Amino acid sequence: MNHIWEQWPQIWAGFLSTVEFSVIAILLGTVIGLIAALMKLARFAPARWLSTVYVELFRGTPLLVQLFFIALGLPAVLPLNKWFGPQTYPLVAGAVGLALNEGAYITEIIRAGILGVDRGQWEAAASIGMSRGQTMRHIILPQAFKRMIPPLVNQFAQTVKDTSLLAPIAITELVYSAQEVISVYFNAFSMWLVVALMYFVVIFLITRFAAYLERRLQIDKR
Amino acid sequence: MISVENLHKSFGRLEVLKGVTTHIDPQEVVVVIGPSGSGKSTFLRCLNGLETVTSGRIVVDGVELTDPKVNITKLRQRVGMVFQRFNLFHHLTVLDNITIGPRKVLKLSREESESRAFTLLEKVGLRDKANSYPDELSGGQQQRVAIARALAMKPSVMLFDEPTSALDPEMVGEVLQVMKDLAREGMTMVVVTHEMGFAREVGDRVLFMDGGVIVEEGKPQDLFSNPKEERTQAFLSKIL
Repeated sequence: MNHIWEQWPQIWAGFLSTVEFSVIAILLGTVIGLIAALMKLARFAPARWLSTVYVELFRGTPLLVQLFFIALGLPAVLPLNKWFGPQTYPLVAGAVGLALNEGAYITEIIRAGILGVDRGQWEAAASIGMSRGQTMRHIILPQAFKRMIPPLVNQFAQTVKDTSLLAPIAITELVYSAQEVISVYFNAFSMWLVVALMYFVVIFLITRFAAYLERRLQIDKR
Repeated sequence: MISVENLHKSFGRLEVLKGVTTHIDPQEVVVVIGPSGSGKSTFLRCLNGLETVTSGRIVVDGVELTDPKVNITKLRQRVGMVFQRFNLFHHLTVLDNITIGPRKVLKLSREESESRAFTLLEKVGLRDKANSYPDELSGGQQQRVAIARALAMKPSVMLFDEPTSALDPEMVGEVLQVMKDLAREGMTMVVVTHEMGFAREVGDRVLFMDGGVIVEEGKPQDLFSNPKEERTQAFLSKIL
């Protein structure tokens, strides 16, 4: 166990990187998911098609392949490393790839939440002269949000775990850092145990927060 | 106020309205009755564009609703609607349910919207429920809030789609009372209902619909006591 304390700064830095990528992917993924969900429900057909293609592509291929493609594949045909800098581009690719992947799943969660709101709510809003946009914003989304919380939290937890797939594209998050430490100290048992525990704590905090949020929102009914 | 000419409405291959023509005057209270599936609710929903008509012409308050260039959203501000299942906004308080239209659609200030809302809540007898959520109210109370929500837009016509059908019997009276008050104040109303007592008492005219057409219409006392059409007689004998 001593090795862990000696290598703690390195592990901690990896952990912080995991948290950072998780936060970015969750925030960006949610924004992308909201936009894609609204596009999927739009009247304008090309918007629906575009969104459907996006969701199907990212759900239909492994995240690891997507990350390799964006981080290593694209720079082979585009001067991305020059534009972003060779140090920065892999980080950008990791964050964007992760966010796009999570966004595809979040799209479906948000879409299902919106469709789950009773049609009568749309009609009532229309009957007082609200436009589609106003109805979506003031009536439908606030109600849809409550029913989205459980599946969204599930997806956020998944996102935290998915950041471990950034290790193969050489981003020094928690798994990558652990591998480096182990390659020097051969402390695989204790190291992976600690890594698992760290993921667990983060995800546990997320699910507890969600349970709290759900209880809070229950106060004003439905 | 409302004129409907040769209105047809189909859902896929099912033709629900097969040529409805009628005219509703300002301040008139028209009650629409008929068996279920007769098209009476669909007819009502066509009047504020919740259903798009297949063919025919509807003019409401001088605006031709069936003209594709007409802004239906704008027109709906002047046509209030009350639904069978209330359809209050579950995430908003009673007060916010009533003020959201004036604030977001009419762009009135919060103060003005709220003073309007409190006046209406007073009228429907629910001032003390302003800060409750819809799901904390009884069905009758919810429906009265729904009426207040529609009235907050100061509509020139009110449409009622079976407003008491989802209520427990003891709550029907309180909702009908609000509607009667409204009729006496001179509101133009089109009411789809099974409440024959209401039709007799406040209806200026009754439309009997069956099979997607208006079979018979007339003053309540004439239509109820002396129906001319066989179908009207058969329907009334079953429900009266």
